[in-house]
Amino acid sequence: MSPRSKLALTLVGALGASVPGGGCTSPQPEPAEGRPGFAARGVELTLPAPGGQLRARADRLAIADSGAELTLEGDAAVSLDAAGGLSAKAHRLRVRPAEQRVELAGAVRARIEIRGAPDGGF
Amino acid sequence: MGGSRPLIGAALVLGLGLALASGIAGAGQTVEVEADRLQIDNRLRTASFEGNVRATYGKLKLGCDAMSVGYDEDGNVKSLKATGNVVVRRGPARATAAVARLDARLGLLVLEGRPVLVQGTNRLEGKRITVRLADGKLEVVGARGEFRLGGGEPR
Repeated sequence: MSPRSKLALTLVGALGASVPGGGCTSPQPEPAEGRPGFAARGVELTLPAPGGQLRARADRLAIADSGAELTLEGDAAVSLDAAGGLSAKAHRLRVRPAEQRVELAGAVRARIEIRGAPDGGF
Repeated sequence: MGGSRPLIGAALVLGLGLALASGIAGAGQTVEVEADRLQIDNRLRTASFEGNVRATYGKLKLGCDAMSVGYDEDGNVKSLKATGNVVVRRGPARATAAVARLDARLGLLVLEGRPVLVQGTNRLEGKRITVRLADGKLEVVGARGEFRLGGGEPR
């Protein structure tokens, strides 16, 4: 593993520690190509969400702005399955952990589960 | 004969409500959404879809410029609000409005902002149209309707 890959792994690990209740795993971290920050393949990211956790997966992760912003690309998927029954896929997913915001762009497809509706209504 | 017209009109109005609501009954509890962008804000407990929003709920199809989903403290969907060029379709029935709100707990679809409900030659508009999804019952505030009986002139 190159020194830069080690640094990327350290950054990813540190990011998980900086998000209360959250974490980020990256089995094969590697330097980002042609863009600032670092990239890692096979990423799974978790963040605290109402009633549970927000879980995001993607092929690549780029970290920018000292970890304030993470961009996940390539078959990106996000789910709130432990919470609101929302799951979504898109080409690109941007996460700002401190603000607890997730932005998906590019052919967004989502499923929303309606719970607690009156009998016969839904 | 003229006394029967309000009853026929009421039946047609109920038919319009049933046409929209029957797309929901037995459809399960999942809404499929396509859009250009989605923003999830965990602090505000909202998920906001923007750009070419298309939602499908059973046989009910909804198109709009933007749609916001609100969650409660347990993460359950509390409400859906569609805004901008809202079109709701179910088979031959079609409703348009500036705003559509779906209250998941109460089972109500509320159309506001010059709502118009159309099926075939029947047309109903008002200031606010509320569809009770369990049985298709309509509540219309400021109602104005146009119904054609047997292909005749509007009543």
